[in-house]
Amino acid sequence: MSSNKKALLKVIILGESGQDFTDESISFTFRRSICSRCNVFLNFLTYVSKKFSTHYKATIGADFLTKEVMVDDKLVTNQIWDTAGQERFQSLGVAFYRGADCCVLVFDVNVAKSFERIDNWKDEFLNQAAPANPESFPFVLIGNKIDLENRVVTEKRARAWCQANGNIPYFETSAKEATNVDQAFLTIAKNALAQDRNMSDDIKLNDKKIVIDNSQPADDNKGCNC
Amino acid sequence: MATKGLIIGEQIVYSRDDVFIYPSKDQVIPGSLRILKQGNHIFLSWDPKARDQAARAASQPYAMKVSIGDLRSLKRFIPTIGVSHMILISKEGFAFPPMFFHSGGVREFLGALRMFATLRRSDDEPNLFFLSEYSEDPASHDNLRTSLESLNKSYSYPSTLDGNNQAQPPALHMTPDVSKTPKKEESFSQNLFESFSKVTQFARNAGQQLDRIANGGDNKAKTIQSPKDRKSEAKPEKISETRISEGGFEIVEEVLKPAPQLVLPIVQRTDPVDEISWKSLQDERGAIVEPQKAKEMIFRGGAKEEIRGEVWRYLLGYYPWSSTREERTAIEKEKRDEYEKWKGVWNMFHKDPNCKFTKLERKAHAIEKDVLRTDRHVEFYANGDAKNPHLKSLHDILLTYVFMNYDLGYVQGMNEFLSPIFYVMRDESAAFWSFHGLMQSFENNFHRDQNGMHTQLLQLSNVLQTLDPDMHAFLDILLRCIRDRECLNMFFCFRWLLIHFKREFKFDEIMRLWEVCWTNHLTPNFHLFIACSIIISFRTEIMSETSNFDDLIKFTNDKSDKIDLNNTLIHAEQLFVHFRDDAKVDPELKKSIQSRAEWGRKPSTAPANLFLEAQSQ
Repeated sequence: MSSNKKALLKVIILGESGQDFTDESISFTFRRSICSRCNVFLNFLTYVSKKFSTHYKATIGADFLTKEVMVDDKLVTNQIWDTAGQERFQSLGVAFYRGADCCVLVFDVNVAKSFERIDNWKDEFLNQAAPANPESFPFVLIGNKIDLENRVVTEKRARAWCQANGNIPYFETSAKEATNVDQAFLTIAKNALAQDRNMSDDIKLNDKKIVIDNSQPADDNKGCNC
Repeated sequence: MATKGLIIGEQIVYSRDDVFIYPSKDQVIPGSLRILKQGNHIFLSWDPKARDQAARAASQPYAMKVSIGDLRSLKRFIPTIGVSHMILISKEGFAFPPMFFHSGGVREFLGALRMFATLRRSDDEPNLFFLSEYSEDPASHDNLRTSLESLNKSYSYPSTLDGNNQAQPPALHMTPDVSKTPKKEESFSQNLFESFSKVTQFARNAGQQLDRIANGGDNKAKTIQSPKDRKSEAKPEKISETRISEGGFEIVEEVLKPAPQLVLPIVQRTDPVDEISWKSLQDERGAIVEPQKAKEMIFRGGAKEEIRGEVWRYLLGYYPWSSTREERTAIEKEKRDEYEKWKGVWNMFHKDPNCKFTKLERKAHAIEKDVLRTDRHVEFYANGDAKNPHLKSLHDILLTYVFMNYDLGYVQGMNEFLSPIFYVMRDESAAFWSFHGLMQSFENNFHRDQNGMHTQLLQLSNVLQTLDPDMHAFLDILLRCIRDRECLNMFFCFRWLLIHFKREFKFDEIMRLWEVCWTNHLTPNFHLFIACSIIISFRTEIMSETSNFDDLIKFTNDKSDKIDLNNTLIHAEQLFVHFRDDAKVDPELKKSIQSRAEWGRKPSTAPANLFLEAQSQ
């Protein structure tokens, strides 16, 4: 039975990428000054490697790290993808989003604009990745940098958005440390697996044809929509 | 297991024996290709035909069954000499192992397939067909089937099984062990999943397969060699054995030529150039007498650390090769003044609280963030975050550059180039101008339209195709589904080419690699041959372990610090010399590789425009 569940989940992190002036001072600490998307990636990285990594570098092209979690009694590998943040490189996204099982949307709670852009990121992702079931595709929302003083996006507002978008799970993390990262990993894995299971049920119940990957777009004979 | 025999309601509507796959160089598996109809679904299956128990055990994992709806395309190969074969590509982009039709019949098979799916011929490749299933209307299927049956009765074998009883297909098409495992209805979906778990295996094996597909099999491959040529060539190291011909398989020999092994010239690298030999190149006034010789020496061995700062000033255009000691002192002074002038201007904007120059601030902020994560593992840059004076210098140089080239702006990756330059120069002005010189060559990589990168990825693809057509074909098939531009099949090399392998080698190694490239001694595009060298040296690993784009990215990212620099430089030079001297290589391609024009200079923003823009803020 286990053969029909994915043991490897591809997760994409998306979010604002560098328009966040929280402080112009060059002496501001590294973690506070990088963008939230990178910060969350870094939190994952820190969590995975159990130490703050000074080796962290801006992503060129795409990079990913992996973290294994136990969901029920099954070992699942989360493969967390970060793509180049600069707008200039965003055309690469098409290639990198393919086959994603979950998408983590990140915003900075101190920057209203980063939250307002979340809808765009979500649409952008659905557009480029073109999953089979866009309405039930698993997303996770992360509000980052809650440890800074000038918070403008309240938890309530974020949660309301999540509810309006099909009960997307919401987490808040800090710029300083990797809080909530393990819960995030677990939720990502659970939701993606649930999605996978639903697809499998479809196959059994409806005797539909086999789906190798639940995120493949309907084919239009021209290759995928990338 | 899962794919043996028939299951309830399954009908064979087409069957052909003598369809072979070659999972590895010592394995030849005969089998039967079938089109199966189950309810409204059409499947393609291939089952091995084993001679004995051992063969059965070995060949069973290769059995496959796939819904037509899950297939994207089919590529047909009809070589002039050799066996016709085809490769199925799933919607995922997996390539199934090539199937060789030993008794012919590819065309017939396509004809049968057309009864159940539309086959749309690719506009670019006459032997590539895109598949799509017919509508799932049972009536239309029945009609089709009827027409198929009437067309050729012998292809249709309605199954007789029911419940737990085993199918009894006509003996002609039975594999010896078919009747062993009764199929239960409830295990149907599981069976299918099991068979799909093999897809990855297939894709892996497909690599080894492609490895051995004849050049002649791929119409696009350009290096078709005459048998005479082949004899003169050394056998490939990794897949060197010639196939053992057995029985009627001699013809296979023709198809499965070993991957082309290039006869590579012997090239030698030397020790790094030291101060004494460097000084010996200068005349009494300190001018380099023979710049070509100097470049060649650096190309062969690189520079020792003691002279690297000076050597790089030449390589990056800060010092003219012909300059005398005296002139260089004057240049240092003049350029320092100019640098300080530019730096002063942005500082004025940047520091003045009354100045609202948001766009510049934004660029400055992007630079700050990236500088803080640039080569922090190198001691020189490690400590003190933004207070580290070396990081501050990186920041100032980048911001000055951005101010001077405001239209281009700051693009991630520039920091990667600057950091070793500043490390070597230890002087802001010299580092700035050297970086500026480098960017004149590389600027197109960073343009918004990404044209420079696309040109280079395409060039890389073309060069690889001449050096290792099988590898090229492998990538081509593997990545077909993400291609919307020709160069996309090399996309996994994006990072390599954007920042010239900065992330793939250690800090001290990258300085060696860069100075070798920057001499432009043999070609201004030596980095493309370095990329080919890395791909070719890991070809076995790539072909056996990657089955999709993500795997390739993983491969690229995992190779950080694991590539031997010296061997790579030697190999890259060998590949270049081979490429240059190979009469079969398209002269146009050679010309484009030997010129820098396509990704070369672009005038930087005129200062006047900048001030206009600044004023308009």
